[in-house]
Amino acid sequence: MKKLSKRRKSNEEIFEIKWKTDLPYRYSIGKLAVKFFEELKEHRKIMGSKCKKCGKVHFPPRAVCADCLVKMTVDDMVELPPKGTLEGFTVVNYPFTDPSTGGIRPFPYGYGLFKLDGADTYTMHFVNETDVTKMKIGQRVEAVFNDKLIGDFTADIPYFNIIKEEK
Amino acid sequence: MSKNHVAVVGMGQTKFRSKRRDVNIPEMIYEAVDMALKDAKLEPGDIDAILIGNF
Amino acid sequence: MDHFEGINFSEMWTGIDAAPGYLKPVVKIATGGTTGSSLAICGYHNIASGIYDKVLVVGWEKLNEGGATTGIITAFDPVWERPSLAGALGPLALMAGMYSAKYGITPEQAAKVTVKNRSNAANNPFAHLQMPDITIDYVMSSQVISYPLRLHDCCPQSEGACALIYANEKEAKKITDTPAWFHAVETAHYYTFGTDDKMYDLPTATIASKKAYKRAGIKNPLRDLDVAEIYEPTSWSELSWTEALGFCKPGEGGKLLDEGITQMSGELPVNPSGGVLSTNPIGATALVRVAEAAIQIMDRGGKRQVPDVEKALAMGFGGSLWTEVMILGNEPLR
Repeated sequence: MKKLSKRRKSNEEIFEIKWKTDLPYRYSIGKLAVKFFEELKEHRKIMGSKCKKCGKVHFPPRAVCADCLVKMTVDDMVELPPKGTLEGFTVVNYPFTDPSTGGIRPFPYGYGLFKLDGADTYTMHFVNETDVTKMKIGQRVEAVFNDKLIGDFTADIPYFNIIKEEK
Repeated sequence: MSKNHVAVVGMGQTKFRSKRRDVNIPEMIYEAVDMALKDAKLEPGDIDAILIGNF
Repeated sequence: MDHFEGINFSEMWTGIDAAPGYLKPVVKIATGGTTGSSLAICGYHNIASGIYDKVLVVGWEKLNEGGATTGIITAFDPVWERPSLAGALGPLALMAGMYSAKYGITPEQAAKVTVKNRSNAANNPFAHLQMPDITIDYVMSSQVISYPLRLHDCCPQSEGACALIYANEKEAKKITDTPAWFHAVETAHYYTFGTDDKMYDLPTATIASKKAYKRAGIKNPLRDLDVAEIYEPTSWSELSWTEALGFCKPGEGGKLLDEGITQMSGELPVNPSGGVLSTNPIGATALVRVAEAAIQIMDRGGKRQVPDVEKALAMGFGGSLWTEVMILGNEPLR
């Protein structure tokens, strides 16, 4: 492929020092997220939140309905099935450092946008397919749960499978 | 919109490249700011307030 | 660029010395991809309020001193989004795929946008990627990095700074004979989770532009605007977002390009500067759109000048799909 960019100077001396930074921190996830992970860990349930004013069902669950500015509590959480419909997809095929591991995230990986049945909001997550010719908008997807559940979204639901479903 | 009209009167841009290892951040900002002040024929003291930002 | 300096370095107020900020009021703005346009809009507010007469607005980025994708991932939710998010390109790829499927848009159609913008950039002495001889084959032969995005469907990572000086009417007339006047500035934010709604048609662009057009007295953007500098992180984005901005009907962004309307010689040239596809120092990128729109109004565009520019549009995009729209004109809006 023809390179159409400028030449770099290669005979410069570079003054360089190397150092590393570790940044430990805490992050509060909110009461509804805590309930989500408790239900996930103990009962393999996926929970969303339902606004008591407009009825919109959100996934991920959150404490404030943005449309109504109504506060939701743990009592407003509803169970959602682990299945959904694919609305968009891609296969990520370039290297980048994952900030949570410090290493390159393994690629290629399938990545999809889908709505869980019963939810009104979409969600993005890993999809277990790296061949775009095998992915299509409208396919059904199903969550795959890890055998051991620890209360971590991606560890416990590492990806969604594309499934064939009888209508 | 406000009754007070506002206009762009001067500007500076650096020649954008992939890497500017020849400058640190203040040096890089200075290039654009110096260009803008010269363009508007103003001195630093003429500026009343500054807004600055990166990602 | 550790974690986008100025967030972690905020105590140091990086670059303030050069801004020149010593003993002056300084506000730092960091709103992701919209940083440049948020800077532009807040600059407008500072003077429109009557509090300040002359304001300096600076956007900058040293994007290649860290991982841009890595940094962008840290701007999102650690529990729900970060583990799978592939920086900005992952969601942009999803949007391009949905747009493509809905309207039957082909990769070749998208490639034409890169060809237009990077050859336009050859007329812009500031642009990063200046490619006067670029072809559709060049774009199509680049690797698919996140379906359907090819490498050359995507913006580069650039380093640099952009500074604008604003003035009120009294001061502006002392400084230049050709000020570029703000006619409208509008911002539309979105949900915290960008995926709460189907995002490919960028509803925030439609909302912000409608409000801006109303304020600026623009009834038909295609007819009433003379040039547009829009924020197109990918070639597909320009096709889709010229629709969202009301330049044409949904699905017709490609037609607009094919009919030559958004080319330099067309009715509404889009991105004579080369756009984001040619130059992307994130904190400055949206401000450069305003700078280039002002350049067109002030008739300072040289080889990239569009003839007889009276009204120009500038757009910023970023974060969880926020859009900012600014309209500038060669006379104050009365």
